[in-house]
Amino acid sequence: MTHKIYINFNFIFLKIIMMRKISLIIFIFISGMRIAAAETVSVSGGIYGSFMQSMGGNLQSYNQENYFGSSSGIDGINRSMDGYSTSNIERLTGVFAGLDVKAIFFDYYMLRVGANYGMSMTGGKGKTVYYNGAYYNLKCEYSLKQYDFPVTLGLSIPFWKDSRISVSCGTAFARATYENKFESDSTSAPFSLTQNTIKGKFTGWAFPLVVLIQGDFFIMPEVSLISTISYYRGRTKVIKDSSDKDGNVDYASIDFTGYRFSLGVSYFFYNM
Amino acid sequence: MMRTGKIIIIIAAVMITVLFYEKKGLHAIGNFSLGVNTGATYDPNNLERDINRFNREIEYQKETVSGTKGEQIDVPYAFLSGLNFKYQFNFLLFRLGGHFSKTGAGVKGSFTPPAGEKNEIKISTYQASFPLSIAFILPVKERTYFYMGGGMTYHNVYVKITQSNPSAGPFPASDRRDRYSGNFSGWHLLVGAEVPLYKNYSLSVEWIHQEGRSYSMTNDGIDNAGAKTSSPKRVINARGDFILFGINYYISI
Repeated sequence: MTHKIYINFNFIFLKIIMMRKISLIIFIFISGMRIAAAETVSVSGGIYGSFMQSMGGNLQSYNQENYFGSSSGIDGINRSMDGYSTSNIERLTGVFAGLDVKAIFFDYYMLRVGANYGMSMTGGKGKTVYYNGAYYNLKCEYSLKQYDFPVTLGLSIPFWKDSRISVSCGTAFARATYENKFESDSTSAPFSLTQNTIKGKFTGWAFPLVVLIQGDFFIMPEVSLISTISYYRGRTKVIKDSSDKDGNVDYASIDFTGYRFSLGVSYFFYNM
Repeated sequence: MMRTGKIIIIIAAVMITVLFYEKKGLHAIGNFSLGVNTGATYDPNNLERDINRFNREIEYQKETVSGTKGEQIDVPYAFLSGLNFKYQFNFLLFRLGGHFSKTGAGVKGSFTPPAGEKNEIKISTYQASFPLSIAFILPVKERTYFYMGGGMTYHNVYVKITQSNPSAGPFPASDRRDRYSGNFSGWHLLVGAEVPLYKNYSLSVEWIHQEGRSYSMTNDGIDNAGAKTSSPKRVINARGDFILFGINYYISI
């Protein structure tokens, strides 16, 4: 009597491929730290300020699509009409403050850990019109606060005598709170005779991918000026509105995608 | 998928042939190298908008219709792997590459209406890209340099969205299967750095930003009643960012 044994080779091969890819990334960096090279380790700490255009992306939410006719958040909500006072609602521009610790091994290999806190400073306020049986003015306000901890691995190459350029990639733990507020004289949903303002508050986290290009210019042997471009790509899951006092529930996902430009100073406090 | 695999095998065969082929009497002009890359990307083929549309509706119905259950779909990360062939001459670098990224089996969600049958929603996608790049090199010393450039990219893409029971929702008029595949071209920018590793080997880190939009692709789909359907058409956006770590072998000529 023979028994047929079915082995799911596709599943096994997929698992082997995934393990191989993860092992290859780890192998590339561990083997890169060759013992034969000059054994130098230098560690620096830095502080910097950054700004980010389009913080939060288009800040789309369910209410904006369902009631106000915008399927692209802040981008689609701007409208104007004769007889109605309107003002352009711009995407948010954010400012950040951050710290980082960088370790450079064997002249070239870099590990960087950072911490950033930012909030929206400009944009996100204005007036538009929308149609709900009749045309009504709609006053809109958007704001965003976030913090993130990026960890990146890469290469840092000394350039000429007094500068270094680094390219590194990794991920970040990012957490943010997005708030929106809409005010109108309309008495149709989502507004009512007793409720002319609805608010939304969304808090969530994600692990966006991070790419970082940084230049260090040494003004002293241990002190450098730093200039950085970083790119984040990722967003949270859809989050339910935690602000329920207005009787309206909204849904939104927080987008961390965008470029940040930073300037700061770094101090190399350990050299071996 | 088979055609993409054949293209990658042909590129690998050409690279291996060049690696082991000896040319006598050839003057060394510049450097040739072969590279193997691995890395990651987020949301290949830009399905975020569709995924968020499902997720918002799932959460809204869970809140407003008592007894509704559902699980959101995660926007996928994908590992990628690739090969490249480079030629460097003075301050210029010419590079022909190929990289392949595919989402894993876990890009799925579900929706169950009150006292109804579960609808399992699954998404699978892959992208094979073949960038041809020209870059400027900022050399520091031998095999230690930055490079920055761009070029054209040829894409082969595939997207499949399946629902086991679309009538259950969250969008009852959906198809059981929507499937798109095709080829188109785009462009890319790349920034990277390379340092020597051991003898003829070097290590590189690279960031590729690519852009590209397909023509309007016909659906190879199955509607809710089980009949074939060719709509809706779809434009696939290959915009994305790729992080690549690589090992390169410099060919001695």
